[in-house]
Amino acid sequence: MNVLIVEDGFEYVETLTRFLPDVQWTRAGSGGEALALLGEGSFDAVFLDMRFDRVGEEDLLGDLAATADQFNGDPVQARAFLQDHQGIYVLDALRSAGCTLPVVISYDFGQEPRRWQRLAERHAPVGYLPDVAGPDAVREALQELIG
Amino acid sequence: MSMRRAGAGAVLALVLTTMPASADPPVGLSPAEELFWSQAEELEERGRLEQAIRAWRQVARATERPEATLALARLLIEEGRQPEAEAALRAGPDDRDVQVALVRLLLGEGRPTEARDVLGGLTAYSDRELVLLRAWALVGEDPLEAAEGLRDWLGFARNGPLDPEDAETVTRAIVLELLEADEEQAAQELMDAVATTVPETEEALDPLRQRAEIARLARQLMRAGERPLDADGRRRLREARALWEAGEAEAAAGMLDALIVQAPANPEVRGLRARVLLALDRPAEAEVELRAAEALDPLDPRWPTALGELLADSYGGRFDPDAVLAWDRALSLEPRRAEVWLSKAIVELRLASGGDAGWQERARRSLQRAAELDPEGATGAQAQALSRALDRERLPPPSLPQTDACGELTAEACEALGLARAWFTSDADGLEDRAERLQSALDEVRRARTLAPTSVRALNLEAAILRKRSTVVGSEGERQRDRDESLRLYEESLAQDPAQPRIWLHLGAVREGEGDRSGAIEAWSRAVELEVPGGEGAHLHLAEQALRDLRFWDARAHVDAYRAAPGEARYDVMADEIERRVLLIERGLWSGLGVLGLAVVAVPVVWLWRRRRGRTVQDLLDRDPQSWRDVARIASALRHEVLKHHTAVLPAVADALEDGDDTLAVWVAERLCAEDGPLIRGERYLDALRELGRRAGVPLDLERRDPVFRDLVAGLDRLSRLRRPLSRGARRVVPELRHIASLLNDKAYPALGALVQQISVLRVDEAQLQSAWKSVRGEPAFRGVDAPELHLDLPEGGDPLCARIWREDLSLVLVNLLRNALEATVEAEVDGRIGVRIRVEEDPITFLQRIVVRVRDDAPRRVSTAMIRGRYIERGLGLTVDVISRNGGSIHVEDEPGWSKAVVVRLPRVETGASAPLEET
Repeated sequence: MNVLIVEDGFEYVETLTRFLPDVQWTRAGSGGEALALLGEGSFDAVFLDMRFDRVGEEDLLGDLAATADQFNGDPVQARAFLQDHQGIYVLDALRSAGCTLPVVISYDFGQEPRRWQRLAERHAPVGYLPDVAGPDAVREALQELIG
Repeated sequence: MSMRRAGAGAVLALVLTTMPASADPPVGLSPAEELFWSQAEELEERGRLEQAIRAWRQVARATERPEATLALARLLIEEGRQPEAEAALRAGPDDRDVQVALVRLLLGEGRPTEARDVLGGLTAYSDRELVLLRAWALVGEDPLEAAEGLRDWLGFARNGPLDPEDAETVTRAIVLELLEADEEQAAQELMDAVATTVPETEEALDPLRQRAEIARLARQLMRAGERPLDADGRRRLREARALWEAGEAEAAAGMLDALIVQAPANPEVRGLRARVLLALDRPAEAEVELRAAEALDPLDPRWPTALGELLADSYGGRFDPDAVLAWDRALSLEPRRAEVWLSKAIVELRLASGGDAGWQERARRSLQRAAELDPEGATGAQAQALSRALDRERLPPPSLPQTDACGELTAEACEALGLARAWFTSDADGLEDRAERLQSALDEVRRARTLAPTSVRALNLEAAILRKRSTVVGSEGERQRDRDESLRLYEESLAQDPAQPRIWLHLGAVREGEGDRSGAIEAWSRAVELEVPGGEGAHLHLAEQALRDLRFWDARAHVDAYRAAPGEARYDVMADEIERRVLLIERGLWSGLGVLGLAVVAVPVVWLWRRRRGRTVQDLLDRDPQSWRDVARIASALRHEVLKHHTAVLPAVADALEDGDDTLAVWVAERLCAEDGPLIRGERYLDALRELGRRAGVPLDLERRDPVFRDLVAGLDRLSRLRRPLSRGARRVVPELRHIASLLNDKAYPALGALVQQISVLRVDEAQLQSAWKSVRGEPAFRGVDAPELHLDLPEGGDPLCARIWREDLSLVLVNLLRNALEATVEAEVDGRIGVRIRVEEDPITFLQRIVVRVRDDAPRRVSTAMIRGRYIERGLGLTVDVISRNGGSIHVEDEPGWSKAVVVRLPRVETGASAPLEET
């Protein structure tokens, strides 16, 4: 199994490489980098972090100015919003670019069933895992989506 | 030539000169770096210095910004961790300010050679600060050259004012070196030049001028030599002392002022005057007197002892090195005074607080000496604990007979004895040829004894010389031989003439020094039994011994006997001190018993009280509702930064350990223990939460009473204790690891999530709107106004609309919007309508929803989004904009079909889910 991890740090790639060494893991640090890697290599699935608060503003996907208008013109809140939900922006960009790979998002949508339903309808095949899920749960989620 | 150190405070002040206390994050940082920066500043502002240091260290390492390195070094110095500050500066970026801070630190530490090395790398700079530092760095090498450098720096005054603190510090360092080098004239001229150019230093330089004057005066007096008091002088001295003891210090000072004119060279007069002046808070004059007393009677350790105390206690630590020197002189005369060793050690420790290993070593030796000298007594215990100051004082050393009469001696023997006395009294601490002088004294006294074998005076003098020599020169074996011989000579003298109270006194002191306590007590008892002047001081020795045996009443009786005995009242100061200690001990005993009794009752009560006093986070939210945002932030951070993937792997680690694979356990242990790892972060966030509680007056008991945090604290605590066996891959930790995973992942994680939901989610519905409308209509401005009905257009059915906002905030927003609409309607004098329409919008990418509250009216007043956001209008909307922003919402003015306009507020909608409790309106 060859999986692309998209995260702003290195926590997932370090942990999963160590705990699931039989899986081939590749890391992308931003949405742009993920799109580039997907164009170059062949992957079976994508493992996607939600929060990207360690990447530069230029690497964030999303319209900062339009988002700022949702926060009374405050660019700081707008940037924080894009960081907090960047995983969804990346997912949207992947699908817009024609990527149909299964995607597992590391985020607990358990408290947001309506939102998850909308996302799952729009971006299938997609799944999520609460961020306290262990390595075995990650493997199971990926395998389930890959089929 | 010794290099003077600036004190720890001076180091701090000087290094801080180059370090801004706080600064906005510089431009160009990544968002994460900016966040770290802000966290470090916030921690520092909140006084969490240890955590702030860790945060700054991280920022400095990540950004390599000089500002971060300087902030880290500044905090480390404030915490007294100079070696770490130095390491941080040395590891910092190659930047002028960082290098300058390092130079200042090294100079403050008294390490000019290393400072000069660093300055060697800054040759490209020649600004005023570097000119000053180069001058300072020359102090230990060439004070005259350093003075020239300082004059160069003064030349910069043409370009603008110079820093008085810098001027004072560097001038002081250079002047002290000049005085040591006997360059008094150069020192005086330099001080004049500095005071002229930087007038603010005039006052600060005064003590320095005074020290030069004191040294000059003391030298003058030393040349004058000691003069005994006549009968009238002794009487007046007694009267002055009685006045002082009666609390009439001013009157005593007046009497001593007159007496000192009559007897300027008597050390007793000067010593008493010093005490009186000190009581009148005139320490500089008292210092002159003590230095004079010491110069007049350099064999009496009382004067340098008192001088050391004065220098240590009266100048705020500025003259601590001089205090140590004074005590060194006292201890060279009486090396077995444990309490002086202890006092010296305490000041050396104070000096060592600047991080100087040399002072630390000296303090260690002094404490060891104090403990050795008083192994069973209170002073020894204090030396170990450094907690109290019950000292043990001993009588001064033997003094030689004062008479110059030769009596039955031949002229040649008398001359030899006189020469011996002259050599002996000419010896003083600090002289390089002390050994030769004492040897000369010994040669002469032995010649006198050869000429007059039965002379007890010659015997006594030889004993005194040997005793003195044993304290200052020779190997340990030679010193012991001198002490043994001294003891034998005193005993021989007393065998010839037992009626010598002073010699019994000295014999007792020598025997005590040799550890022969019973022999010492016997000798002092013999001195007392003679009941003649000269032996009265033995009462005080016996009082000391009684104190050691806790026979306080016997001690008091001996002091009383001393007071009643005839004599010169030479030891009154010591008697006062013993009396004070007896009183203190008696009081201490009674107080101790009282405290013990109180403790028996109070400890369980306090324990119970603390148990009951601890409160939960819910109590905090009830007491201080505004804290919800901070609580939510901390709870969220704990979930994402401490738990999450850090703890999610724990079951897998347990599985691997069971399968015999310990590599994962070792790896996880390293991550847990990392400098910014989850355990440290968790501790930091929990501390922040406790601090939040303290500020609100709600002391939190997260460990025992809080249902949300209890499992988290227990889990992190257990995990922390597991680090070591985990890092060794011990299989026995498996059950514990699973238990911790259950605590953190299954209990703490969802509990924190539920808390975040619970504390900040509020329903937006008709009841909220009607409540706000009622509040507006009840305001004084609208009384008597025929207000229109509120037209409501709310969605029917579906899930409740909930926003993440605090109740007061939502109420404030609605009230202000409705008030603004009603005002506009009343102002237009039309029968207008006011309505509220609520709908939901969805973000097409994130699918997050927003609750849209449209407050509509018919009034013609023009208002725009820019006007509201730019605060061009008042009417409470400015505050509304702030509240909406704070809650992640927005406000716009939009066209509204069928209405004049709508002020539209959008708030993030929260899905409540099945389990999330709601705060009902």
